[in-house]
Amino acid sequence: MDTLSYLFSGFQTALTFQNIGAAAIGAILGIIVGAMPGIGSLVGVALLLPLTYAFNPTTAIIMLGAIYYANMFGGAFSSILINVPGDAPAIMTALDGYPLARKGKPGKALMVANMSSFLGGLLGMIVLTFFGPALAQFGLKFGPAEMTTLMLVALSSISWLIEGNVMKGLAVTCIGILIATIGISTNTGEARYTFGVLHLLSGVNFIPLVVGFIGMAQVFNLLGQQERGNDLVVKKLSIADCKLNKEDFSRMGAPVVRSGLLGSVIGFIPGAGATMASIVSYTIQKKSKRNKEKLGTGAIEGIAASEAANNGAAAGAFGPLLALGIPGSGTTAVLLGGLMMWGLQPGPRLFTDSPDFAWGLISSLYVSNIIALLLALLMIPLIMKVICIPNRILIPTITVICFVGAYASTTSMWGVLIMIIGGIMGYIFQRFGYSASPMLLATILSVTFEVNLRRALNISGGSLSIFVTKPLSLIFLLIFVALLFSPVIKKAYRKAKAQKA
Amino acid sequence: MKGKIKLNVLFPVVTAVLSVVWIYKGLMEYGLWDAASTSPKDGLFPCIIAAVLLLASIFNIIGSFKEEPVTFERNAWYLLGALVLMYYATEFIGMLPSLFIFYVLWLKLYAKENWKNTIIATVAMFVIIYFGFQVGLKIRFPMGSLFQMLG
Repeated sequence: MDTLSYLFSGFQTALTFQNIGAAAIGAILGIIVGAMPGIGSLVGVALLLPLTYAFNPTTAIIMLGAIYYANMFGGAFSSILINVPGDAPAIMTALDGYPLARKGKPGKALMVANMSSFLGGLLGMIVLTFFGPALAQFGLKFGPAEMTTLMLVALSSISWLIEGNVMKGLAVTCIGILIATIGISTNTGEARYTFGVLHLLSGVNFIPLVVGFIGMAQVFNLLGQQERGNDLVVKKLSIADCKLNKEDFSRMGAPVVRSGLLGSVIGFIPGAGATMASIVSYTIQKKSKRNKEKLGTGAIEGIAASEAANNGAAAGAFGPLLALGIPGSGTTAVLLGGLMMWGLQPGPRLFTDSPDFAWGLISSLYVSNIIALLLALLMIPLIMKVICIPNRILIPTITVICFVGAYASTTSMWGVLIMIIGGIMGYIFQRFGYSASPMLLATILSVTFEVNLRRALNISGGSLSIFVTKPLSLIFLLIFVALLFSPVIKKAYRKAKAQKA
Repeated sequence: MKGKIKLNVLFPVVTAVLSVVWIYKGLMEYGLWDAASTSPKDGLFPCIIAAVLLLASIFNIIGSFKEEPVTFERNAWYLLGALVLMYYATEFIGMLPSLFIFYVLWLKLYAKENWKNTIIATVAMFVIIYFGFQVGLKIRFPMGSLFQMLG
């Protein structure tokens, strides 16, 4: 009952005029950037982060949450209408969405995607509502040793599982941590690694860094990409074309419930994220004998499974983010950066120290879910125009947004300089095969990591045994070791399998 | 592969140098361990991470010889040049005029858009910036020395 009363009090925060407005603006922007191929949720959230600058922390984070969440709705549009996923989690949607659109039913495909996103997301939010606080309760048992080893798990899960190349993942993670060591030390208050630059005393500003590393680097990448053809499956589409009948709903039911729940659970796992959720759910759906059509040929079940899973995971990802302060993906790392920018420290104490904020944000996700569904349907004509914007126009547009965003977040040209340097670095990272997401995650988690390591060593008088004598810490350490060696083991296993074949 | 620059080794070499700088400063300037209070000093954490980075960099240097050569888009230089020009032009003519000139020139000269599309895109872009940032978020963009002198 406590949880429900907290949730209702959260609705009192979320349902103010200002917060509903922020959620609506966030949802509109999120759907638009999510629908644009070549932008995606990470770039979208990074580019729109400076927009939250003028709001109070709760409103700003509600807007950010809506941007992130609505991205998942937007991603399906370009998958279905032009067979180019707007974002990685929508890749599986294209497999059935585009064929169904080619069969002359693009409206039906979009409606299935939007309804499944809504219902899958709703399941994810219910899971988040009941398991998020439980996770935070569990987190309250963590001391510095447990937090240190948990940070190792968080850093390794996203960096190395995604990358495949352990050493490259390790290198970018370390670079991210080293960037975060620049500035005033949290321990002694003395300057570290500032190299005499006064601006660096306050550290490297996170927002311009993200805008450059993600947004500007994407502009450099777009320069090398071929122009997409304007190959929309239909030229005109209205809400009336999107009606679903009773049979469609009954075909959607089971995949939505199964994939929504599965996605929510996967969203709780750091490093897994919405893309993995949609792939796993789609694969399971493919094996189901209840599919009326073969998946990959325009089956409603395929679209429903993929979309319900990625929205379930997007909502579930808020669990570890709020309860433990661990982002599950690059996008949630940027969200975490946004939270910290506003002076909020996600972690086990968030639910007890700032319940208004934590529950306000969770409640706002329910509100954003409804707003995003309505807007996704109302904005169909606009989105059809947006997804056809060619790269040659996107390039100067994103560049200008990066410039303005970097300036707006710092009100100084120093921010613009960080953005430009970040953009160049991000581009170089990508060309050399190093992903930016683990670096951003490491930059965000670095302070928590260092503070807890210091505390643990202070308690133990410098002995490392503290990390193995505490059972939870030992478990985290074992998970870390397993994650560290998993790519090597996987590689050896594949090699052995290939040799056998 | 002929004609392509093989720069793969450069990145891990740079990260190795970076880690050495961090370790050096950590050891020499900030210290690792305070024996009196049995607590870590400011250099311990960065030194541990930099040491791991150094190790990873060495592995990456070795691995880089087996990789496909890295290449860069020639067009990236144009964009880089435009970014630097915009940064310095902001000091002189202000941020919004600099961005406006960049936007129009890019669409006309690089994207080869017709005037109709250029005008529509430019007006839409700057209406969003003006109302979104200047009016909505009350951001005062730098005016530049020229307009400050005139104003």
